[in-house]
Amino acid sequence: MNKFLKATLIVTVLAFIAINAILMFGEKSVLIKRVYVHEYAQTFAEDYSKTLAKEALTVPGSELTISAAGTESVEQWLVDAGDRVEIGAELAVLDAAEAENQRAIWEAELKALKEEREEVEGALDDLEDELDDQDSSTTATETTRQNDDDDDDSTDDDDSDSEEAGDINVNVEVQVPQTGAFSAGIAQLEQQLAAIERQIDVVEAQLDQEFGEAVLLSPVDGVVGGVDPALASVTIYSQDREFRTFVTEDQWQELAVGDEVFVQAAGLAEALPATIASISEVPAESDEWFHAYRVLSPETPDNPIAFYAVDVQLATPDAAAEADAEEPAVDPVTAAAALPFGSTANAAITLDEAEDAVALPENWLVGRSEGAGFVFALTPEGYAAPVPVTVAFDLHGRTVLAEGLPPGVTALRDSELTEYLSPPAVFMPFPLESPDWEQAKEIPWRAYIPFLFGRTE
Amino acid sequence: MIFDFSFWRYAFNQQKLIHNLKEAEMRKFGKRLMWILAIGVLVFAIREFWGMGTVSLTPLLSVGLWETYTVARWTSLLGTLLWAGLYLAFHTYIVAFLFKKLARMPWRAAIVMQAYVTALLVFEKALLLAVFAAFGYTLSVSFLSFGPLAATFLEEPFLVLFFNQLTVITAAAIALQYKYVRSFTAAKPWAILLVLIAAHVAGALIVAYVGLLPLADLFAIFVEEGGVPVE
Repeated sequence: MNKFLKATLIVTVLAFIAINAILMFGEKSVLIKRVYVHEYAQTFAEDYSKTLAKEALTVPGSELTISAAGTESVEQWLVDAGDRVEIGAELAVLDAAEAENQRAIWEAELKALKEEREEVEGALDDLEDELDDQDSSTTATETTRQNDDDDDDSTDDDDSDSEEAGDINVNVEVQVPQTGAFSAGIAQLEQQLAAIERQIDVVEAQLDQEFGEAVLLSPVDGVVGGVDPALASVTIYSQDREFRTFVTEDQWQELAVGDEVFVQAAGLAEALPATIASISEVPAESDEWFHAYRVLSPETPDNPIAFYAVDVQLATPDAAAEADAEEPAVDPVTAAAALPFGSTANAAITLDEAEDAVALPENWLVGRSEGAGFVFALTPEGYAAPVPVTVAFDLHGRTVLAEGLPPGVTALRDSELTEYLSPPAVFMPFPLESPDWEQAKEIPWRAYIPFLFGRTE
Repeated sequence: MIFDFSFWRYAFNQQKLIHNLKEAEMRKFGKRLMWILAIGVLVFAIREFWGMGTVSLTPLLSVGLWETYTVARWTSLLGTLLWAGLYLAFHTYIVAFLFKKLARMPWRAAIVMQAYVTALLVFEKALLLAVFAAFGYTLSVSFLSFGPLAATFLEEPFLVLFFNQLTVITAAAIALQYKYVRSFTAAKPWAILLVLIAAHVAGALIVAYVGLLPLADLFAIFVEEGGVPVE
């Protein structure tokens, strides 16, 4: 064969192969392709939850700071930090000269308490009416009353129910869950009413004292958190425990009041169910709690003041039992009483939850935009078809789907599947697992003949 | 005289091999042939592992029959290995036997010739697998054949299957066989070429016909009682 003929032959063969390559692999190829899919998985339903783990501190459920009328008004302090006090317990002996001023404050306080009682009673009536109607929607009852008295503060409470003798605010907030548990709301109000009654008794007892022999009495049960002679004030911690943590501005965006939290701490047999009671909208104060938190969790966000206090309230025994019906209910409040104030705890805040949801690796979603996208799934004929899905949230590299892909479907991962105008037939690599011989025995022998030829029939 | 067979040494110098086959005693051929056959089986197995030719089994996954799919793929692998054995044995021993009987060639020359033809066929399959794997998809036609042209411009499946059998490798095999047959027989060159081309075309027709056979119906004939219904 001469060289010219050989060269012509080679060029002809190469041209032939090139034409074939264009017909087979070119963009305008009309030939049917069968696409190799390396990764595939059967979807299944599971419960997923996204949590935010935070260091937390055991804090009192409420702090009540009681101040005498003036810095020179206290003659003798009768309690010290850490003392347990009951309602009506004597806290300090007041100076006789200042007693008259103090009486004025107590009278204002008594007036405020009586008004608060009326508001609570009104709210209670409303709730009882609602209960009769059996309305299951959420009801929030809020009353506010303000007394413009120019005197200095006598008492102030940082809890949601607050009262101030000088500038008296009364807030009654009752959140009734949508489950229709009005009875829980009524019980809460009745508890509140009883507390107000006790405080009225204390203030009345203080007013009944003879002139010139005034004694500062505790309006609540609790533990003395501290005595500040310079300000003539005493802080009383309530005996119930809450937990406080601090979040950065990014985390703040993800939280909501009512989010579920599990709290674990040394001394607790198991994690206690709780909920977020409040999320501060202002940067955290530089108090002892915040200082302790910064030592425990020395994260440094770009904005150094962007830390926000989040208070976590333990669930009531009923709610705890409802949340975890299989386990015997442990009263979280009782369990938490074993923790000293200021002790370290770990709070796992549930940011997102999805029950019986399907999750896939994040990169299995294609065309993702604003919580929606597509997942390729096998059709009954063995073709890869895009299925529109909506995203619930991402979790550890997986995307939890809100809807779109049911369990039991074979999902596929291949970014090149998007290049086909119509769903292509797909094939997979050899399965790595060995066949289940018991299953193999159950397959009729006749089915094996087409299997030998790579067919099903 | 004695010479040692070496696949690569003679692959591009067939004339010398033909000369040696005529003049000398050959050694170490069996071992080389076994290598060709072993590599051939391996290529078939890799195709199966990659999934080529198993697209019909995918619907088992769609309906959640994952265990059945696994069993089917293992069975399909067994079928592929059996088919590889048959395919390779046919193209080496049976075709060589036919050349010995019909063309009256020496057996040794015929089996060496078919060893190279089989190697070409294995190379074609391996190349096709490599290209498909690189693109991430397969087609039912080969870029070395007239299949793509036929599939693009013709609609008759039989013709597509037929032209898909006529490949560059087929031409190379015909050229190789022509060289050997011409060297070892007294037949006229044009007659040899015509017969070889006709044989390969006939082979392509048979493959195309078998490819269109309704296997499911045929299978039913064997396993169902009562024979074939008359329509």
